[in-house]
Amino acid sequence: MKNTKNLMDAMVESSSKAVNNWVETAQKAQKAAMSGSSLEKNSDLYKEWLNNQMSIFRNITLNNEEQKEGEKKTENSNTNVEDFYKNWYNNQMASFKQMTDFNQNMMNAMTNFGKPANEVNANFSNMNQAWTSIYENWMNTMNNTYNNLSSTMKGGLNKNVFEQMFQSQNVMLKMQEFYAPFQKAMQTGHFNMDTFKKMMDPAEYKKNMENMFAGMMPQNNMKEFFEMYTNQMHSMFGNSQHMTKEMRENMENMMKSFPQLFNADMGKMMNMYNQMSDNMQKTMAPFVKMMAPGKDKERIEAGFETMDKMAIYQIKNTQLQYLMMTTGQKAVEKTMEMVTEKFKNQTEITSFNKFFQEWVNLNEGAFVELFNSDDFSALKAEVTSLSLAIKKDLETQFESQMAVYPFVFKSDMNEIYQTIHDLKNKVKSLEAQLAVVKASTVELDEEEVAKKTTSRKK
Amino acid sequence: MKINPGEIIQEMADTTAKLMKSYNTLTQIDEVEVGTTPKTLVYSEDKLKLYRYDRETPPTCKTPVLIVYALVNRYNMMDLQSDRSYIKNLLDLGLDIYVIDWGYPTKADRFLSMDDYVNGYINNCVNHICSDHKIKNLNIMSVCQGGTLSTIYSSIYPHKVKNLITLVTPIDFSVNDGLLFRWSKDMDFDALVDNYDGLIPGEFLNTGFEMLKPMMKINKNTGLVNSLDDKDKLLNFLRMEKWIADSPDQAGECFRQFMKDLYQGNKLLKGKLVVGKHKVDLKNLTMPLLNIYATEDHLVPPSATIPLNDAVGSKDKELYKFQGGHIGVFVGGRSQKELAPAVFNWLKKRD
Repeated sequence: MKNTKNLMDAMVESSSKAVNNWVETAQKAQKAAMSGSSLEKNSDLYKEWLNNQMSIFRNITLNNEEQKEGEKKTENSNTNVEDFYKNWYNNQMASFKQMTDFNQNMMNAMTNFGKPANEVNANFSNMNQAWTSIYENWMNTMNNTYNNLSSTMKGGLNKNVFEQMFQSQNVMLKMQEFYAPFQKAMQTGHFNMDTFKKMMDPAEYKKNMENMFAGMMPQNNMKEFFEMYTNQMHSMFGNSQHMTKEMRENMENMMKSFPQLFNADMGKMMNMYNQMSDNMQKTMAPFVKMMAPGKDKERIEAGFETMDKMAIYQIKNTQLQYLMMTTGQKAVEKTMEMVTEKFKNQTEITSFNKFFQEWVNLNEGAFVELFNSDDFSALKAEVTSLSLAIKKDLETQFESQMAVYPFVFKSDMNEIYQTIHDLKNKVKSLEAQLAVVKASTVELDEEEVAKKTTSRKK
Repeated sequence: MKINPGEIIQEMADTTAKLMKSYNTLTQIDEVEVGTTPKTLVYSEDKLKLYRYDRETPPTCKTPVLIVYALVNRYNMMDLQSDRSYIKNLLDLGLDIYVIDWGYPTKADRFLSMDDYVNGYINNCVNHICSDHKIKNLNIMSVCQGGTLSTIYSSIYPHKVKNLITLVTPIDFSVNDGLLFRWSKDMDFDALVDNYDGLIPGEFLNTGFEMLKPMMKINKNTGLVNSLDDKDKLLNFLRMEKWIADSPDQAGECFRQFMKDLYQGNKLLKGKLVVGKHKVDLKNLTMPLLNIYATEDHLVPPSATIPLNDAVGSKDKELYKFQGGHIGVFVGGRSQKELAPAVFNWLKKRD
């Protein structure tokens, strides 16, 4: 552990030195450019910086090797830890390589003083792009090394905390990616609300929103349920000697039409579904009538009911997601207004974390407002009930299908639980009554003893 | 607007450095413990356990206190760590404290009703303590949903409760200024209980709680980077995370009645609530009452708590305003200095 600690301190120190060196050199370069020094002077500065960086990292490589030797000798050495450092180190080197490129771009930009504005802008744009890549690469470094990092953690809680933290960092990275084009447009002076609308990529944003609210959206589970169930239905009807060809075709058409659900035209979707449902019922009605009453018929009818619920669930859930997405979009618009304001005021952004924090605050306000609305509350309640009703239907149908086998089902267990609960209460009640009887018997005994004692004395 | 890349890259490097330091800290942490104040099991029934906190000296307040916590989450939030333990503070001040641990209901407990909890479990614990101490009544200190259950209990059995303290307790469920109260109006709780097979998962409730402050999780986790290199801060964070994740499932029948009769029907305040064979009348609650609410409570807003004082029959009643949130009442720094002594003094005066 001591070796591990030393190694880490060395790495942190080196990392810090590397960045300090970079910042220092950049400042020198800026000063040189501002004072009109020659390009050669800047190149010298750049070389000096590069040499320093190489020296820092050569030093850490040596230390790293020494530490590894030390760790090998330690009984408790952990190969995962070594892998982690190695991976982390390699990724850091890749990051610093990008920083070098970025620095070069910046140096180029410095030498552009006095050149036409479009060239300066183009260079600045390159620099900005390079910066975005650095940030992305840095975050990827963190995410790539996460697996190694968490594998050496003790206890599930610590691991879980880290997982959540990295997920959140990932949201932050995605937001940076999302906002990068807007920032770039601002830097080049091309930003206005039309640009924003053109650049706004709802699909990207939607992905991020899903990532952010993963725990609150049951969509994936339901999708699996839905696929499993429709496959089951296909297979069932397919095996029924093609009697239900029309039904299957309708089902397939319905499935093909499902992507339309995501166009957010809920009324259209509901009409489409009702039409489809009517067609299916008409198609199936003669066959259902032909079937003798019994378990099979009940199963088929239950299957239709479940399908009906599933389709309605999909529509309602899409509606719910649509509310979430449009709220997210409102937050983006507010963020852009805020950024535009800063752009106008020439405010300097020195921290992406602060920018991210402002975005988070805007989202918090927008979502709380949404969650507090009547529409959301009613829809959320409906979606929750539908999803659980489908779950229950599928379980019931599973029990029905498997009833011939000697399994104990949930419904059987519920009867047992009810009986145990009632019996327990009965026993407790009887025990309480018994305690009262015992207490009064003791009192009577004591009274009798007292009486006898009194009569003897007499 | 200008972007300053130098400072932003410095920010990245700082974060990397903190993450690396934190790795060391985390490898040194084996297991995060909560609720470590020593206690002894004195009674058990089904999954319920009644504990008495160990004392080295005789209590200075002779009437014992029974803590009734909510069925949601776990009582050890009041004893998260020794330097931020509401329970330890009260013990140090001189109270003799018992706590009900409701345990973790399973499907076998799905038919446990509010009647079982109030007229069964709470009543049996009160009887046990009174019998042990040879007393007729005791003090109840209750938290959140546990406060609602204790208020119901105290209305049915006023002779068994000497003093009642309620902390962040929902009583008026008709309010709309808390999201939980808002959503509950639309939810089909019969469908929820039946389709979850009578056991409401703790995760389901936690997801609902997370939605009350939708960006809190992201905020918390991105902010965590800044305290990862500080072992004490990290331990505080991990303890709280452990407590949040420790969310027992809810017995369906009790949940059903609680949500339908209270959140949707507001029957307690309307005087229409029936628990088992008892009709609950808050005017029967006549013992001294200390009702504590938190000004920034987003789970149980003050508007849901305050009306208790006007609804009860007690003449000796006090409303205590705590500046903070729902959890801050127990774990915040001010809570340790301010709230525990105030509660002790209030009880001591009425002992």
